[in-house]
Amino acid sequence: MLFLLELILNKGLIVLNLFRVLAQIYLIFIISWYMPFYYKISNSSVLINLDLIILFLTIQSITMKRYQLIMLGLLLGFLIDLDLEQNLIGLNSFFFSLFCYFLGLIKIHADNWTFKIKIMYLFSIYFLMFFNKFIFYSYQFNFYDFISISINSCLVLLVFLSVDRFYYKKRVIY
Amino acid sequence: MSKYFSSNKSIIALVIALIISLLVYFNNESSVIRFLQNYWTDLKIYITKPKSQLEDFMSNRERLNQIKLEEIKFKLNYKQQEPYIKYLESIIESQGIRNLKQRFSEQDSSIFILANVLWHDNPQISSSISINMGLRDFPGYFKKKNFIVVDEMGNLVGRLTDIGNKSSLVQLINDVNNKIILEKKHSSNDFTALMMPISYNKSKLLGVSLNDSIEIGDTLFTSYKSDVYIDRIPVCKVISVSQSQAFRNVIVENLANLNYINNVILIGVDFE
Repeated sequence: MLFLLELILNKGLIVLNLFRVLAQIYLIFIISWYMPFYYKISNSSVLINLDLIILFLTIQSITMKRYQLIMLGLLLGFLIDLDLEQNLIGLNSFFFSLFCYFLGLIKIHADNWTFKIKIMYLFSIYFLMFFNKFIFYSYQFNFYDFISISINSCLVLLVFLSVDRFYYKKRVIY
Repeated sequence: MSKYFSSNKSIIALVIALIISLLVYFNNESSVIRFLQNYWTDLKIYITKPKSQLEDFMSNRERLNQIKLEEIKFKLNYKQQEPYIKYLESIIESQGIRNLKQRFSEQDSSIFILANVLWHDNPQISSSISINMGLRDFPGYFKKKNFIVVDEMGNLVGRLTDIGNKSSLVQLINDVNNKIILEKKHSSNDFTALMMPISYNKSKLLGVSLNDSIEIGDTLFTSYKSDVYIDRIPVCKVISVSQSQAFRNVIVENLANLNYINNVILIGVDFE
């Protein structure tokens, strides 16, 4: 009887966690739709704006297991495709799953890598995430695009470091 | 076997996720995906309606003030010959839209619909926008119409590709799959070229030979040869011309500012 109760409780907790994550995802989308701060450098195809989806995935990589993070990336990528894409639905699902796989390496190598290596690694995967669209859209990549993507990557990194410093008390990256 | 799965969960999850995303990518025209996309965009309308209404109001507040002033002027000056509605039309309509309306007024079946853009300032590049007009807003005979989308100045923005219940998807002119045939002038004696997007607001013209006359500052229009777009809609202006071996390298910039659009106008005409 106790065993049955424990099983029901565990399953209930899993379902509750799932609803919590779905609610968080929808909240992230609502905030991003209402985000008032954006800027565009002339001739750039990329908007300078804080990418909340990538930030959310980075923060979730701290607590979630890697395979859960990959599935979350797949779901988020699919929702972004529904939101932004016309002919390339499935593209963001592909790249976000890969992104989450590489993001999971931070948690695995938390003790092996130094702080600088982690920062450089995070910056490079953020940069590649913003850059991948240029390949599929066949857009030309110019200097202003490079600047915009670098600024976006730095923005996400800075906010994540702030969250780690003030909320997690330097227990994640530092 | 179970030991292998439990120790390699992340690899297996990655492979499954990639397979699913590839399946979705190669079946993105399927009815299920389109249904989900329309459902998501309809859901977005409820959330972003306050924002789009506020942006609409903020962008038109100067015009609103002007209309109020004109209304007061008209009321005080009862000796005016022109009716009140023409005052409003002259203030609201830009020259571009007025020209388009004059052109299409000859056809009784042309439709003009004003729509709000459900804008999303996302750092991820996007080549489509969603608008707040859907099946419930179009007239019953929308299926016989070819809908294109222009901005408030009459410049081409894109075309309608998906219609949901409360919202629709517009494929922008900077989508790589949206190649537009352009011509320099209204007559068929001038050249036509294919517009290929190379960035968010710039494109390259393909097929401009050394004999074709084109200069920086020229405005290009949709061609009569296009099966998708109605002709003589302004699209872009030339910003750079250089010569290579057999063709000219022409770079053009879109006339419509795709970064900051709040309102668009849908023009539906019969297929010719």
